[in-house]
Amino acid sequence: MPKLYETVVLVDAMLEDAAIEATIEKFRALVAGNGDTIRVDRWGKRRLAYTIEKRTHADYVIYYYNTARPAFIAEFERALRLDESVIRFLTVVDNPVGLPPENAHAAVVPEDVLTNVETDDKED
Amino acid sequence: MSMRRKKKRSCFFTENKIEHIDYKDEKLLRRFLNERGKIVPRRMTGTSAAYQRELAEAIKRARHIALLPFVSESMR
Repeated sequence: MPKLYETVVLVDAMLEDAAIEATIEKFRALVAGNGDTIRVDRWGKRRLAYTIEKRTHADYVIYYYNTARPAFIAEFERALRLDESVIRFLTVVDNPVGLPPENAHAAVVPEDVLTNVETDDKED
Repeated sequence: MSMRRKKKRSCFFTENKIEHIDYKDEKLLRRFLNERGKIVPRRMTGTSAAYQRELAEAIKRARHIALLPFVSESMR
């Protein structure tokens, strides 16, 4: 059985929606071109538990995939590091239970999060 | 001879037959953090040793992707 990889990517939520889409799409294509994409979950914009590089929100995307070429993981991570719109990422291999249900734990994000992105620094 | 009050706690993960703790399950993981954002020791929660190790790993991953705080004044 091929290994199941999952990479969580935090895309800067301060960017224009089009730019966010473009970033997500870019990595979607990269993954698809180098292995089998099993699923891509989009959690949408969420508040970060702590600020990272002055960002308070990020758009969470999770790529589930496998690849016949392990070196691709390093290439993928390098691409993520080079991309300025990516705040942070985490790659994990082989979670023993396999694929979680679609968008599990996505946590409902109220619509107004989008409008609050720049203003709510004194919420909690 | 101290009369420590003994609260019988049993392992949440064993009871619910959870075979893998997902670091993305923020809601679940938060139950094992105190208000400061620290991991609650297993003597308080009754979590079995094996699950406590897995839980700690999951919480640390969740912190890395900012789902959980490393420290927080009040978590609610």
